[in-house]
Amino acid sequence: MPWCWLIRRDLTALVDDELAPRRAAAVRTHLEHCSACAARHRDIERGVAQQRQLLPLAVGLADVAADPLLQRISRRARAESEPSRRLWWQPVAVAATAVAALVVVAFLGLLDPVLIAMGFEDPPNLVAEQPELFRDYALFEYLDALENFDDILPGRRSSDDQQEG
Amino acid sequence: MKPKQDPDVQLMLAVQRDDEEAFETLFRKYIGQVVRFAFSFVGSRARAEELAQDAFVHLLSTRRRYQPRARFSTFLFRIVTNLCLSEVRRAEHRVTVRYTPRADANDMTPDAVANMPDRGGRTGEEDLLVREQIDKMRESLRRLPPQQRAAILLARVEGFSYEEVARSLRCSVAAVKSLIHRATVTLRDQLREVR
Repeated sequence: MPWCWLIRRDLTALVDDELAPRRAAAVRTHLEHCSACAARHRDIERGVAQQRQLLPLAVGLADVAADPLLQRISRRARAESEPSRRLWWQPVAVAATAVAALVVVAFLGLLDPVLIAMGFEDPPNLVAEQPELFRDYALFEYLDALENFDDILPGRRSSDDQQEG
Repeated sequence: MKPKQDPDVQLMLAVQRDDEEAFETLFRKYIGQVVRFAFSFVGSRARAEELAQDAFVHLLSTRRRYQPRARFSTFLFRIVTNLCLSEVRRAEHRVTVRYTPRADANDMTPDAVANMPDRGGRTGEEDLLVREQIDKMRESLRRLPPQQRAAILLARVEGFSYEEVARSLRCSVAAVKSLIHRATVTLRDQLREVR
């Protein structure tokens, strides 16, 4: 029959009682008139019955020891919830460390230039009285190098001497 | 049965409220089924127990998001099936591991035939045939593609409806119908050789 392949697709679902009522009725009507599909249906019925009997035995295991597994699961569940408990003190610890570091830096006077620049602290008296002396501090720092510039670059000096000569 | 009428759903709702006793009740009820199901995918009892642990830990860690939309067993086996299929996929990427039917002989029920309910008037020869059929079924089951294996186990061993299997496998009922039909025909053909 032309529709046999369509019917055969549904035979397992028919045996499992999983077809919609109208579809099940249509398949049963077909089986009444088609001996080949009816034979196939009986074959699948036997197969399903056999599988229902044998499959649970085929996947059978000796009894599972539940207690040790339950203990392991409890330990894992506790361990996995640890990070959420730890979270509350981690930011506090980070903030406390930062404050302590700031106090140490302030105590050592390393923050003074910043505080002076921001106007939170008065500059030293000398700077306050003659600020123009310290405006080009970087220049003063390298004054020695500038004074002996020619000694630093002997090659240049010798070439200059040659030109003069 | 509506989800809310399922006593296990009520237990799971209690687990959601951090009721440890409810969790233990659910665990003891399902651990055997879950390990057996996982075993048919990984072929090792130790790995199956690890997967079962993973499933219950996942159940605990996601309990706040639990919504009773189906029977509890459907919800649980959805987690288990996911883990098993992922495990199989990972195994396929690693070295192909061949499971021999008796590789884990110590893991099996000591005598599956003796545990059969209708053992009554069978002769020794018939027992031998049944044993042979069980071995063949085990081997054929392991040869099935993972999706077909999951579908047929859920339907035939766990007694799930096609709709519940579809929920567990996250696919359509039509797809489940096809998976179970193909698995049924394959198993039937391979068991026929034993007769």
